[in-house]
Amino acid sequence: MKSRSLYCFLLWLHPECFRKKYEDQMLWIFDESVQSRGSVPLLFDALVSLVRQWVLRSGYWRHRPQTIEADGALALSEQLRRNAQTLHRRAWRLNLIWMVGAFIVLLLSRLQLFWSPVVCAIAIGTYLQNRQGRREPASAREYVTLSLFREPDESRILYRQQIEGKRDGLLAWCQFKPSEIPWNARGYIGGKFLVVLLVVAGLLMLIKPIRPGMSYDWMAFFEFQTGLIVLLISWRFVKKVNERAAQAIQQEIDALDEPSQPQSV
Amino acid sequence: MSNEPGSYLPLSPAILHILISLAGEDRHGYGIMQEVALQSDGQYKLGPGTLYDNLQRLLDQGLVSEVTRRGEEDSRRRYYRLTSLGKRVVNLEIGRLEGVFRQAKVHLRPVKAAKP
Repeated sequence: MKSRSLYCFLLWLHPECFRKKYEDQMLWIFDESVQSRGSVPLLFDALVSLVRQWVLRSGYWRHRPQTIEADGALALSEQLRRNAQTLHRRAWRLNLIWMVGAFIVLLLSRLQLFWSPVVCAIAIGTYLQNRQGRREPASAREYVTLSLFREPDESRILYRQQIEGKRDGLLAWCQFKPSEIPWNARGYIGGKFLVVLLVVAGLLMLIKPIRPGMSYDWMAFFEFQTGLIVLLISWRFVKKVNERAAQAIQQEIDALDEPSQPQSV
Repeated sequence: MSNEPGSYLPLSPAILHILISLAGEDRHGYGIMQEVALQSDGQYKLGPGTLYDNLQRLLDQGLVSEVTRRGEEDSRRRYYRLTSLGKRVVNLEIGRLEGVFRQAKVHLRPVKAAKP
């Protein structure tokens, strides 16, 4: 009885869409096969399934395809949308991890400047801006429906604006050249600001030991420099991921612009 | 994913077993699990989590469809059926595996003969 409760709990932890569709069937199989197979392999399978659904299929369940063609193939626009969505989400996750790493390295410098309220304000500001950048369209329903509409209407324009905003946000986060940053995203702090901050911190750390009569924390120095090198090397990768996601969104925008072709019989 | 059966190959062992188990008749999840265990003499046991994850992929790809059966005593039972595309994919995969098997026999024979 305990194992059944544990199995139910593991099922309950699955993504909602998966749970709604398969919970009853999986529980039924558990009831049928627990005597012959034992509860341990079934519980282990549920645990593996839980990790699989959240780690590998979370994007799928969040934006599950609503329409499947009769021949089983996904519509091209749907594929483009899903691709753009997945890359966009992946880019922001990476940005967030990189950003947290950057703040940790700045704090590792133990420079008074970076322990000040100014840095806290920058951190909060950056977080809020990134949060805005990750914002999803108004609702999943609207998102899906709009991808299917062919005739432009107000909602379609709104949807287009939303994904253009996403694309601009990604580009603004990682671009240094003002000419390449979209006009509506010029005020964006993003990762490029943190890169500048890290370089400034690096220079300050280098200048500090030169000052006469100052005791210096060499451990902090090496921790900071190691972190700085790792971050600056990984920045190239982060930038590439952002640009790739922006490209995917651009492809989706281009697909939206294409007029619907009448199907030839 | 295109409608070309070749684009689905090679199939993973779990998917191949599921498709073969559905080749004879429509089955529900538990039926598929039992059939897979039977096919492999109990060596390959699918868990419900693995089964439904793969079934969802097969449904999305159009290789399997869900069918409703009237008069079922248990409403939790959902039946699955192999589609025509699914049949073509299985046949193609079996053909591919036969080729692999033939090649393996040709290449492994001298090794076997060389053994004392």
